[in-house]
Amino acid sequence: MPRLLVLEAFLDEPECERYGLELAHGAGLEPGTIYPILVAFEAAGWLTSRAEEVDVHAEGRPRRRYYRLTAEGVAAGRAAIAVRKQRTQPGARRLAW
Amino acid sequence: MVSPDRAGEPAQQHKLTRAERAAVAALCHLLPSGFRSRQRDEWTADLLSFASGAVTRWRYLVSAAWTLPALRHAARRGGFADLSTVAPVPGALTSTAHLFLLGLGWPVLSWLIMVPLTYVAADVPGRIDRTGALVDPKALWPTNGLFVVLLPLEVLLRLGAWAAILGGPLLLGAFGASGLVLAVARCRRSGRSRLVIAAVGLVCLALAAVAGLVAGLAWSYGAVHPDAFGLDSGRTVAVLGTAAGILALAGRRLETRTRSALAVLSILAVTVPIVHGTTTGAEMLTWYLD
Repeated sequence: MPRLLVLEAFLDEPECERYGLELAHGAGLEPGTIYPILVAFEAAGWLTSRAEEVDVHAEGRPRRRYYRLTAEGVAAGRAAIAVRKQRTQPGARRLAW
Repeated sequence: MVSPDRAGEPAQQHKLTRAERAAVAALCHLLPSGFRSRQRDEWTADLLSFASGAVTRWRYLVSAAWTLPALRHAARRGGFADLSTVAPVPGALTSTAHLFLLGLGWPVLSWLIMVPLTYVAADVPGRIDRTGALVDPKALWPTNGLFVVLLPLEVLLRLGAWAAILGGPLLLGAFGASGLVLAVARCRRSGRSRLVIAAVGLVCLALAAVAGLVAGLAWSYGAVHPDAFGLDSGRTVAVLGTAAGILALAGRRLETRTRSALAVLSILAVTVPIVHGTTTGAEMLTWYLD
């Protein structure tokens, strides 16, 4: 379940802001597949996001977007993971893609 | 707080090839217009951070293309027009929509199944003509043998149909019960959201109980004629159906299927008193109430 993997990555440090690629690595997802999940979570009110404040010319790349769990997202994420753990045997995490 | 290991990431000096830029542009073109710029920045920044080469970048682009329909759907659902951030669907709006779907959907669908569909499918007018006797609606539902398992369904449908026909406290009670069911069923939602919808359900049930008690007392003391309350022939359902229709039209940030279901429910609900106003509808209603 890619969504649960993303939630787990967020909940490792719920207060921490992270960008998409960093989260994909943390969750063990194929890079490039994480944005539908992030946008869906944000649409559900589980995440907030902000554009990075950097000089794009100095950085040589566009601004990244940083995502952070909301209080609702923390609660919902923990609940979803708890439900998942109840339903499945503890086993090795596998790549979801 | 930005994650410390990434905050000070050095500037990337790679550049995308023309083909890679074209691929990003093509993918962005398939996204909602207000969302393209944001996603272009995300993808481009990610691609520029891959120092390991073209294979990694193209693999990334293929992954992005593979999940593009999901991203497109999520972006649209998030209400992107010209927003730079996603506007979340308000929890209250979704909860209200779901409460309408269950609280109004249950009585309306029950009425549809138990009154007009049963009346037509069981050929009630034909039976009355042939036998000259009344046809008991309860006798049409099979209860013998294995059909006994259908009893809870029959009770639910019968209660729902009565709520649609009588309106008032019964309909309020249907909304209250639906609120409690939703609060229990939405286990993925936050505790606060479930608490609010459970509270709404309990308030509806309490109001229904008080209204029922007052109406019962007034009736038993002869303060009002029995016909003065209760039998509104679906007019309250139609009013609530109109509200559901307004919600379907105005709730642009709701899921398409939710809005579609609300629209269908609205049409059905408004139809209830119209059907009762026809000659056949009045006969159906009389048959069911008798």
